Amino acid sequence: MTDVAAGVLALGVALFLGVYLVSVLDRFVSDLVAGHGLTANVFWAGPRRAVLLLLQQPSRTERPDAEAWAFAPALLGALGALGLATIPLAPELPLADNADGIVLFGAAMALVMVAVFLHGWSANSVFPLIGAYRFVALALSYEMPLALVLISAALPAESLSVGEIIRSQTDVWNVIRQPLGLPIYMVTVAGLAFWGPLRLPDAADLSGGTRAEVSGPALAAWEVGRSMVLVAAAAMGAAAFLGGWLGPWLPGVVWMGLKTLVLLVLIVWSGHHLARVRTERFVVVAWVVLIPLALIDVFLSGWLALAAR
Amino acid sequence: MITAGALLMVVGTTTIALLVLRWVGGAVRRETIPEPQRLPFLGGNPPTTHAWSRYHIRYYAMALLFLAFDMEMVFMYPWAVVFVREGTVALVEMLMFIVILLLGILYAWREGALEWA
Amino acid sequence: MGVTSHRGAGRGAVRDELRRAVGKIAAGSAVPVFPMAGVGGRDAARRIRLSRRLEVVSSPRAANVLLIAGEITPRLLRPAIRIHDQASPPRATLFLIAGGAPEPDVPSKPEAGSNTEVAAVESALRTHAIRDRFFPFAGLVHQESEVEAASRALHRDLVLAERATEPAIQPDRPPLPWRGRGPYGHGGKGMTGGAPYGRPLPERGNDRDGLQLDRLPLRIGPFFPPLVPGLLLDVELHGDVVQAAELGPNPFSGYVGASATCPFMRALASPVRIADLELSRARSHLRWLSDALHALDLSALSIRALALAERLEADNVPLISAELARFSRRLERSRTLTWATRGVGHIRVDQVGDTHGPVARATGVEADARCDDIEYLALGFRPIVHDDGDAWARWRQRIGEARQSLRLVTQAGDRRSGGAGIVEDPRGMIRLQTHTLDSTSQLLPELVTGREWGDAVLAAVSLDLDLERDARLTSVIEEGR
Repeated sequence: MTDVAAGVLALGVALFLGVYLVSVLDRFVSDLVAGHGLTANVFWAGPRRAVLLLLQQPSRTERPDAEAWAFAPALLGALGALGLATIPLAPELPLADNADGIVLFGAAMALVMVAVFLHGWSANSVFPLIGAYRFVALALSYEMPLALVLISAALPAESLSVGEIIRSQTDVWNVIRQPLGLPIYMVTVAGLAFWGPLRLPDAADLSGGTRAEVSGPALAAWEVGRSMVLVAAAAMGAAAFLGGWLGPWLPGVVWMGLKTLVLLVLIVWSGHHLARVRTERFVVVAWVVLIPLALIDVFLSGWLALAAR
Repeated sequence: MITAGALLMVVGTTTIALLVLRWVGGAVRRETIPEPQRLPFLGGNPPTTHAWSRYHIRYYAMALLFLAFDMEMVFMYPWAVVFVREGTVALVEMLMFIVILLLGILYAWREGALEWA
Repeated sequence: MGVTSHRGAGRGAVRDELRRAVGKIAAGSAVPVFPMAGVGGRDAARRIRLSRRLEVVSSPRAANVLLIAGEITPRLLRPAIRIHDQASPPRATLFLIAGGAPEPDVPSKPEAGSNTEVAAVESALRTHAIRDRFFPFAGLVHQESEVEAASRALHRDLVLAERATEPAIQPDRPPLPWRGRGPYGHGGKGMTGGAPYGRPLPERGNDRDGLQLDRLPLRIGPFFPPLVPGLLLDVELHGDVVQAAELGPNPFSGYVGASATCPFMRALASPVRIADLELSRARSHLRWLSDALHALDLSALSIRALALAERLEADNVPLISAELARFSRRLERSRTLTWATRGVGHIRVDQVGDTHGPVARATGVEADARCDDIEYLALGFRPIVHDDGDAWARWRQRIGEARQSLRLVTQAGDRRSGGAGIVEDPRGMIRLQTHTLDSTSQLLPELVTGREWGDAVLAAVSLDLDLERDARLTSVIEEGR
């Protein structure tokens, strides 16, 4: 029981650190790209903005679906937390290293669609509504590649448990023996957290999309929830493709953290360098390129796993 | 059982924490929101109707395609576990199944189901 | 009794202290500003992106400070008031009244008593009157350089609760009388009946797929951030697709005179240094680039582009030129940028009509007033032309023209051009005393009809519209008659 309590506590700390780190990284990359000098402000900008939003009045539209509107950010964050809970951050901290880890992770990430849709729908305003329906198209397209590359990672482990997937990479990481896996996975992560080139539901052309009518604490909660999903997805990438806690000299948690950080940097960097793509074009690319590539990944990984037996 | 309880706890705690975060602001300033502040944002003009409507989801064909693949996913999870034990037979069987589904994608693509605007 | 009240006061003091401490943390944050540009305020409103202390937000909901730059014309007044009332408290308004920001390359102040100066004073007086009548609580600055400090001061006072949040200007009344019964307005006529919250539900209309579906008639603008300030677009949305579109009236018409501060307008009447004209053109294209990157959610790169435009002066052309070359290589190699813009907003040659400038040249029409200018020809000028006619062609067109302009600046020396009554400005040909009007904005409805909303916005952005220029050209024609 104390194990479980320690696991939950570790999870809370990991989420908190992760969300803070995302805010620091985002500000850092943004300042760098904009050509501003770098100052200590990168460390404070996120927390300060959060406090500012707490002092702002939450908005309400004429006839919103108030309950769903309040629930959407909480659901998004809870799904991020659930996703992270399926990942053992270190061998000695197996909070929920259950036999069906990646199934649970996939289920949590599939429900992100519901959270984003509710967020856009509830305001009863046109642009958030368009953002909501746009995200459904996006989510239906990245869902398959996401699940397929995780299944490829599960093949050599002969298990759906994330811990087993990490242990199966003791000799060689999946990023090397399944070279297609990580790139495809990173595209789906951008979709999951609607970050960078796939920031479609909250896009500038919709004047903020699902967040166009949101202010104050609700906006802060939405940002936090979105960062939680991003952290969970990056941690899963580190576990499934970069060998999770495996690594010499340092403790496992540190390795896990470093690998997650690398993936977070990649995603945040892409957010300030890659233009937002058109929804339709992404849908076509996802179905015609990503899904076939992910299937090739599954069969190549399967073949390699059989050969290595 | 313990893990399930822990997961429920994680989900519950996060949900409640974010809901509290959302309502903290409401507690700080409890004024009622006047009518003009509730107008949906369109860049300065009021909407003529409600936004909720029978929205034309033009990607419905793609959504149906997704359903077919989602069913396939249900088979693939258990398949992944027994795959190495079953060997080449499992590989060939899944390959046949997938190729048929891929033909479906190609057909849908040719018919323009993936583009709607 | 006394004890209770004492304890209550103590608790109140603790709460005030806590509130102050929290407010101090929040005051250090960047100020979320929602800018609204009136006549002559567009550049100033855009330049707040350059400040690290200010953060441009995409919706008034998230703003603490609403910046109103330039003159608010009658058609902009109601929208400005509505947006003010939509912003979530604590909120404050800041007026920038100086006739906006003049172009940095203004040669000299207009002479006292000239038509231009009289018009500028009239404009400022009108805006002051609007502020006094509707926004008496608003802050006021006269110089663009004061905007940052004034916004921060307003912001600080708001979050420390030293300044009361501004009240709504409109009365606290529902938009239309409640007709239904119950919270959802059911029980009126028909299935859904009534008018929940005073607004009807959408009506059905014919969709282009032959279906009967709900249509949403909307008037977007004039302060919709991804579109240019002042643009009123009447659209009918079926889902996310624009079923029909129409341009609304130009809110600037009748409120901009022939501006003597613009070098291109001066070149209509008398020769102006080519270096000045080309610097101005490069700046204009780079400002457009900044807006276009902003519309693609690349806010950091957009700041980079805007910094290039605002730093550009006659003495640092080689430096900026080298930076722009690197920047444009990066953009042209960007796969996601081509994905976002290729094939979007395609214009056919037969649609070009009275459209000039980069939009026409990106469609393969080699029309440029500089081709008929002996001075430009002596510099070896040849217009850049792209044939594709889509948004991506217009992106490459403007970036290419900005680089070409910088090359011309270094070659031009003291050569002068103009005085012939015809000038090529950054958006097309302008002529003195003719009635050929630039019709770029007239292309918009055709370009967005039948498009997904995101594509429609990117098509609109790629046209580089300027409604003030449209209004000014109209007024030149009227003066000429």
